[in-house]
Amino acid sequence: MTRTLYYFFGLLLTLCAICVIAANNTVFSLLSLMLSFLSASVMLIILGADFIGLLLIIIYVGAIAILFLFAVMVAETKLTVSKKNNRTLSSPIGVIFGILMLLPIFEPIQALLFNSSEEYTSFLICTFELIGEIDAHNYGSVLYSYFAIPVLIVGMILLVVILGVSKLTNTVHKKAKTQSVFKQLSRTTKIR
Amino acid sequence: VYGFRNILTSRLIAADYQDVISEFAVVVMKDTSLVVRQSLSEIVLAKSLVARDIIPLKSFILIPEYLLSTAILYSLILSTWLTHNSYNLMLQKTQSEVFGVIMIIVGGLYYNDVLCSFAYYRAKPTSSADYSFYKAMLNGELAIVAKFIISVSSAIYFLISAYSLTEQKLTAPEYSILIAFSILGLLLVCNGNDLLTIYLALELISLSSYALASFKKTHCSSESGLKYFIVGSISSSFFLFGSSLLYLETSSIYLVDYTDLFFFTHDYQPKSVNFDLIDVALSFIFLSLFVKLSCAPFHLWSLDVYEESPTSSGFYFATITKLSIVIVLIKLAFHVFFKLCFVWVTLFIVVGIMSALIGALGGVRQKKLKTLLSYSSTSNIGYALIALGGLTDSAVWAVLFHVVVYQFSGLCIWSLIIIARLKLKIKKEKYNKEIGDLSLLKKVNSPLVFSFAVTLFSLAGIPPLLGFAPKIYIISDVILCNYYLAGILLVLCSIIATFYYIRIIKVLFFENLPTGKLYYPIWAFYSVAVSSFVHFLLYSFNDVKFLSIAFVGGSAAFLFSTPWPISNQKPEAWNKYERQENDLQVSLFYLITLNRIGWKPSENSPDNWYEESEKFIHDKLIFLACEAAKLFDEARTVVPLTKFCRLARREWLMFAELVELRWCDFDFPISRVIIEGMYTQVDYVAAVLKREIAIEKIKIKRGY
Repeated sequence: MTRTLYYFFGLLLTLCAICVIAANNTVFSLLSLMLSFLSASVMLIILGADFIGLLLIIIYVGAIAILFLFAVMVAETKLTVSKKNNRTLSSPIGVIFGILMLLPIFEPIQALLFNSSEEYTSFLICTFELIGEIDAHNYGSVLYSYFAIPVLIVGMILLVVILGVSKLTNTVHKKAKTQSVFKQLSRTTKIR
Repeated sequence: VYGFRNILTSRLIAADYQDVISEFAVVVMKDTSLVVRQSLSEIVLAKSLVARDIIPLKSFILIPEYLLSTAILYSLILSTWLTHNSYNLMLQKTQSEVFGVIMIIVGGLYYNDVLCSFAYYRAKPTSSADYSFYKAMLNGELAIVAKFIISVSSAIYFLISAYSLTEQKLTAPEYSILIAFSILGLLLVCNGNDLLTIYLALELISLSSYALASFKKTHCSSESGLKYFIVGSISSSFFLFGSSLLYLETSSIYLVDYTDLFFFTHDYQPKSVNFDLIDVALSFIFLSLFVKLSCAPFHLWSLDVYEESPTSSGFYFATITKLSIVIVLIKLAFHVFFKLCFVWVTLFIVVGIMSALIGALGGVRQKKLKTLLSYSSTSNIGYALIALGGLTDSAVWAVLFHVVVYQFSGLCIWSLIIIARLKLKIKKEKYNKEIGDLSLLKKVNSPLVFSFAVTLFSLAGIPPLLGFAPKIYIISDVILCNYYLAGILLVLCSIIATFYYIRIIKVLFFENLPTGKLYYPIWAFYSVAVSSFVHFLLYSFNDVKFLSIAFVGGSAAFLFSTPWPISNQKPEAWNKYERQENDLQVSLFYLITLNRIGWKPSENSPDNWYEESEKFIHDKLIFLACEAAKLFDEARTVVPLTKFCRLARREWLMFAELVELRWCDFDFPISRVIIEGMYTQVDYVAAVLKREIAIEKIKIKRGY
């Protein structure tokens, strides 16, 4: 039962990911992005990683995707432009490159997926000492002891991102390209 | 999928090991240092894991990085505080120079600090002993040498590019801070021993590089930053995908574990390793690193980024970022996955030949100086890749030698570009030179033309200059391992590349034009720096032996992990005990690994062979620990510790005084703040060391 559910949500995830690229309307593609996040988190929960699954919902669906949706609705991109774009020229090239990239991966992945009769034996089982009962406990204990350096580097990366974004969006120079707020607000909505 | 399963199942496995000496304790024993090692005898006896509370001395291997990051944070806070009312306050030159001095201090720490080069003294006869932060950092000569070179060259970069920031109107104080963050990432990459740390450090480098490329926010600069961002993020996702496949197959992210799995597979092939999958994973990881190095099929971003981004950013991307990524390549290819060379050799050779060819052919019709230099860097990285694909013994040091020499030539040529400023009214075009702009430079400043010529000849590889040496080593290496076609192609490529280098020299010396561009005069400091570079390129060819010996030493110690002479401050008997204990630990480690794989000594061996042999080794370890503790109690001289501590403190204070002397007449609060930061660091180190001494004293009182 869970296996069927797992494959169902995997299929849903793939379809939604295709929809994200294929949809003409930005709002539709964002909604399908949210659906793909949801199905990914359900897949994680089926595998037993409850905490990560819930985290995915809270962060991506709850915060980032809603923020995107809000930004799209406020910014109001011109939807007619994307219809004029001729996709028939560029899409086959992308498909060919995608297939070429998938070909070498396909065979080993297939061997992994369909030879489920063999017992999977891993060589190096992680030796982290897990103390807690709850998943979050364990993640915390491992993160802050064994992965202390990566956590510190992640902090540095966040600081760099804040610095870079605040510098690049701060318009002190007059020649820099800016959005004109008045023009944007005076537009009429075009969502159909 | 399997990764999450492993996280869940490992809880059960940890339960299995509770009454036996757990593997974690063994790992802790390997991880801890000489000072804490004595306390481990107690740990083994008590079968407890108290050791986690003690900070191992090896964690101080990152002291220069701590210093650098503290300095960055101080500088960030201070510059924000100074500029919050007046954003265009001109402190960028000062800030850049201060960062130059900080990088000199960092290089000095790598060169002669006791705590940082501590790994030298503790180099173990096995390859699996020298980590800090639980296998996340590999300490060794290669890392320290590379970090020293990076910090020195970045100090030179900061000092030379300081004035040009004003010229380019890069007034924001974030600029130097972003570069310093990126250098921090470069330093961390050299030590990184697991895929996660390497990935995050690479991200730290590249995220700040994207911001640096698009810092001017003009049309061209934004475009180059966007291109860099897209290509860089795709390559990062390739790296992540490859490492996730590796994790799926081996369920570990530590490079050491891969070494244990794949490096010693003489006798048996691991049964259920899917080598196709590892092939794919390694190809993805190496391809992402090739993108970061701008090798030939993936080099297209580098042309635009070098040309269009601010010149000081281009200087930084072209010269300083290459070495540490090459070190990651060497580590992955030659140390970890050497036995799987059938996977990556073809990739290296093909990409290397392509980048040498395209780098040579692309520059022929190029008119812009910076784009031409980006083609030149592509072709030079191609040489390094072919040498790595040759699989000879001397490949590692030949590559390191080549990359370091190229880095110094790059520093020279880019600093020449940055100090020769055109007399133009439009400020942004002062640095965007075409080759024709150099035509009457010999009338304006003839020594500058001479240094241009020397540097270009060195880049082309003309014999009396330094650039010739690494190229001849690499080509002879490639021919020695029977890659004749590759050798001939390399020679042809270098001939074609020589054409475009010499064309610049022709423009410099022999162009007879009635009119030309005018240049500003050069400051004394920059002229001294550049002339010292030129002299380095001119005369160090005689001392190639010295350089090469250094690199042979480094790479050999890295590859074969030969025992380094242990310092003679300890009593002789202590060394003996330590060596025995180390051997036992290593054998226990291999025993556990073998048991995991399902290996048996022979077919007739009993089922409980593993438990028996583990118990045997365990008993011996306890016996040895007791003996060692007795010895420790009797001798009571173990203790280079106090002396060691005093020495470390003295060194730190010396550096602080040095900085103070240099900057005392300098009316700027940053130097003050940095010095105070260093003092707090010193106190922190001293406090930790005192705590360790106190623990040792308690041990002595208890009678172990």
